[in-house]
This record gives sequence, structure tokens and C-alpha cells, in this order.
Amino acid sequence: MRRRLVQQVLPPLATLVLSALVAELVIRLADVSPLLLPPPSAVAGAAWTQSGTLLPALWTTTQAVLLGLGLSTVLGILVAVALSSSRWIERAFYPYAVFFQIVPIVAIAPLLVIWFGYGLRAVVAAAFIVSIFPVIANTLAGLLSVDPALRELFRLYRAGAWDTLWKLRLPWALPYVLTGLRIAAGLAVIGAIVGEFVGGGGLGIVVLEAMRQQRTELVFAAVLYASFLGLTLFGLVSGASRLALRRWHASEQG
Amino acid sequence: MTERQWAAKATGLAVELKGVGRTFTPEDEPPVAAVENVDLRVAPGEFVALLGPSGCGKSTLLRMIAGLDRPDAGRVRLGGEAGHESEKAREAGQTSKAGKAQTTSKARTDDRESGAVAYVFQDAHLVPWRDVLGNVGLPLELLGRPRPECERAAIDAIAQVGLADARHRRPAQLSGGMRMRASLARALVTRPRLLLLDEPFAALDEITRQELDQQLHQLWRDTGITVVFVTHSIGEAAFLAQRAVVLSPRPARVLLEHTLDLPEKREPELRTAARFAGETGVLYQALRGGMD
Repeated sequence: MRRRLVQQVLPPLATLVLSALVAELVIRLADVSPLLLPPPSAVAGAAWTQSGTLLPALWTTTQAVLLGLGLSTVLGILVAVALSSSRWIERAFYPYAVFFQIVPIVAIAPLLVIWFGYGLRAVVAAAFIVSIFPVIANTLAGLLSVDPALRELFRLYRAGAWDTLWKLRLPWALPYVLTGLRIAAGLAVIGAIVGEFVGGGGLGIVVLEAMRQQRTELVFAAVLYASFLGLTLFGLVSGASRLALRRWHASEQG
Repeated sequence: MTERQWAAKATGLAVELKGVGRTFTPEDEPPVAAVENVDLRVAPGEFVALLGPSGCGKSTLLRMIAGLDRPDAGRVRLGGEAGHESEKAREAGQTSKAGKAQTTSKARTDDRESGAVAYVFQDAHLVPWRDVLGNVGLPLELLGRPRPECERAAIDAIAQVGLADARHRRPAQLSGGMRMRASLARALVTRPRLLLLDEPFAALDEITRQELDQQLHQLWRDTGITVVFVTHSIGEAAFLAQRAVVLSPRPARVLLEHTLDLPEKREPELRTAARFAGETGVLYQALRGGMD
């Protein structure tokens, strides 16, 4: 177990340290202006010294991301269940679900502020809009891929729609839902940061402020924090997926 | 099959097919006749094999008996029930005797709600997230029986197919033969009166398959339920059934109904006996004749 952990963590960690060293060296030797590209050491320094600003901002963004992602999960699954209930409903509404996928979040973020006002709600809405589609699309694929023989088995024993949903369709779709969530987690962070650019608060505003003050190292530090948030969420969803599926689904075995 | 043995023998359900036909009309393709004008009677407690080449429509026939598909000509009747008729026949019935049509459809529902008909698919088709116990108990659960009853019946059914030690394993941890046993247990858990099997052991290796054939036959003898067994294997049909019905290539029609002149108890040695070869020969000739 420990050995496996080492095998999994060591290579990417080595890549990180090595590329930071190379970047540090190149930037210093080429004498790049820190306004354009601060060396990794300066970024790390800012991440540490400015943590009084960055940590509260990270917390604000985290809240928005979790709320947005939570909404996407619940509504995304509900929408997928509704879409899967009949071919007609799917044909009538699915094209509009795609809307959430193609909508340029940067362009409609101002609209969200007009609708929800400055602050958390607009940011949550932005995180929600960019993260719901992968949940819908994956869950729908899962619901539609239920083994036809098992459907018939449920029919043979006169299972009601509710039993069929809880005991067959949703569990069958679970691996797909979790795949959708993995994608959605990263997207929700992007949506929240963009939402914060116009809606205010969180790491998004730190980035904007630092840019105005030409503190490039602080911009990088904020990006570092945002990446950390995205990675953590991804890791959590992956962990949950492993826990839920390892006993029965091939994707999490071996 | 000890303490919880099916109480009474010969509780099997009769099956009667009259002029049954089924044509599929896929989109943008010419219609395909899968079954054409099939008459078939299966007596209560009888073991009948439906023997036909691959893709001949025998599965469709079995699905119509199970009520998973509807005939578009003729009528399927189970036991004493009025059965699911083709649309046309039903409309005719409704215009003449609206009241009677009502009662027949109710009788049908009752019969199936009790789990009187069980179906075993070509592959095990177990629910991967449940263990064997959960899978086998599922039909009773769906029928709305209380949990303890489901579990008790499941434990019995699992023992019946010799899988007691693997009760808490999940499908991914089972061999193909064990999965099929679990699937068989799931079909038996409601104590059905009619057991329908659609080439259930076709994917297994020969030895496992013969073992399961043997077990199924013993089970049938113990319980007295009606069994309709679809297969493309002449040997399997002859070994298992009292009567074999040979079907033509698509659309499936009855070529030959042959009562097998073999001892009631089927032992493995039978497979190499001369009289067994004689019977498979008869079936082979009929099957062959249908191909030309």
C-alpha cells in the first residue's frame, strides 16, 4: 500500500520540483522581468506571505464552488432522469441542455450579476452553469445503457417505476455520474473564478486586484491556490468513486 | 430440496399457443417475420425443449410465453388464464364482450404478480452491485415481499443450486458456471410454476454445462413445475426434455414434435447410450430437413 502510494506520488512530484527548478534557472539567467514572469521562488514567497489575503479568498471561492457543484449534481441527475424517461422528452429538451455546454460563461457572467446581484449568488450561478452539462450528459448515458435483460427482469416481476429507478437505473448509472462529477469539479472552479471577476469576491478578485497593481507573483499565487482547490475536489470525487465502485465495477478494480 | 421443498408436486402451469405469429418492423428496413403460425401445447409439469437453429425466432417465442413480448397474430395462454392475445383478437373481444376482456386481463396480472413465471436469460445478467444473496432475493423484493421473507427464500434457492458457500460474493468474483447457477436460483426464488430458459448454459464449457443440465433436470423432477427450454443443441434437448419441438429457420414454424423415448431419470451415462444416439438422430434429421 505504502509502496503503491510512493509509486503514484513520486513521479509527478519529481516532475513538479524539476520543472520549477528549470523555470527558476531559466528566468534568472535570461533576466526576465518579474512583471512578466516571476520566478517560482517569488510565487512561492507570495503564496506564503500573502496567505492572509489568499486563504480567506480561497474559502470564499470554495464555498461558491461547492454550492455550484452541489446544485449541478442534484439538478443534473434530476434532469437526466427526466430526459431518460422518454425518447420524446429527450429529443425535445436535450438540445437545450447542450446550451449549458456551449454557453460562453465569460459573456453571460455580467448577466448573472444583473440577475443575482454582486456576491455569492452570481458566482454560484456561474459555477453551476459550467458544471451541470457533464453531469447531465454522463448520467443520461448511464441511464440509457442499463442492461436490457435486467430491464426485462424488472418488468417480469412487475417492478414499479420507483423500484426500477432506485434498484436498477440509478445504481447502474452511478459510475457514469461519478465520471461526470470528476469533469464537473474542475469546471466548477473555472466557473466560480470567472463569476468572481464580475460578481466580486474570492480568488477571482484577488487575481484582478493583483493584476491592477502589477503584482504578477500574486496573480500566480492566486492561480496556485485555485489549482489546489480544483485538484483537491478532483481527488475527493475520485476517492469517493473508488470507495463506491471498487467492489463491483471494473473501472475501479485491479 | 429438503425442508422447504415445493409442497405439492405437479403444480406446473400449462402453456398453450394458438396460431402465434410475430413480425418485427424495424425503422427503414423491411419487416422481419420471426415467428409464424405456431401451435404448441405444454402440459402442466412437462419438460419441453424448443430446438432450432440460431436466430430462428425461438427466443421471440419464449419471450411471448413470458409476456415480455406480444404476438401480433394468434394467442398465448398460460394455465387456466385467458392469456395475452394479439391486438386484433383483443379488440374483437372488447367490442363483443367488453366485460369479459376486463376480467381476463385481471386474471393475467394476478398470475404474474405472484411470480408464477420465471425466465432465465442466455447470460446470467446479475446485478453487479449486489452479492449473490441480494441478486437471488431481488424478484421477491420487487414483488413487494418483506425483507426477512426475501432473504429466507433466497438462502433456500441458493442452496438448491449448490451455491451456499458463495452467498456473499459479488458477480465479478464468480465463475461463469456459478453466475449461471445464481441466475437459476434467482428464477427459482419465487417458486415459479413455469420456468422458461433461453439457451441458459450456451456460454459455458461442456462439462459445466452438462453438470447444470443434470441439476436442472433433477430440479424439475423434484418440483414438478413446467419447464420450457430453448436451445440450439440437439444433445441438450434430447438429454433434458420429455418432448422436443423442432423449429424451422426464421420465421420459426414447428417442424416436428417428438416425444423422447428415454428413461425418466437422466443420468450422464445416457449421453453415450445407443438409444440416445437414436433419438438425437431423429431430431437431427428434422432440423436438417428444415434447413434445406
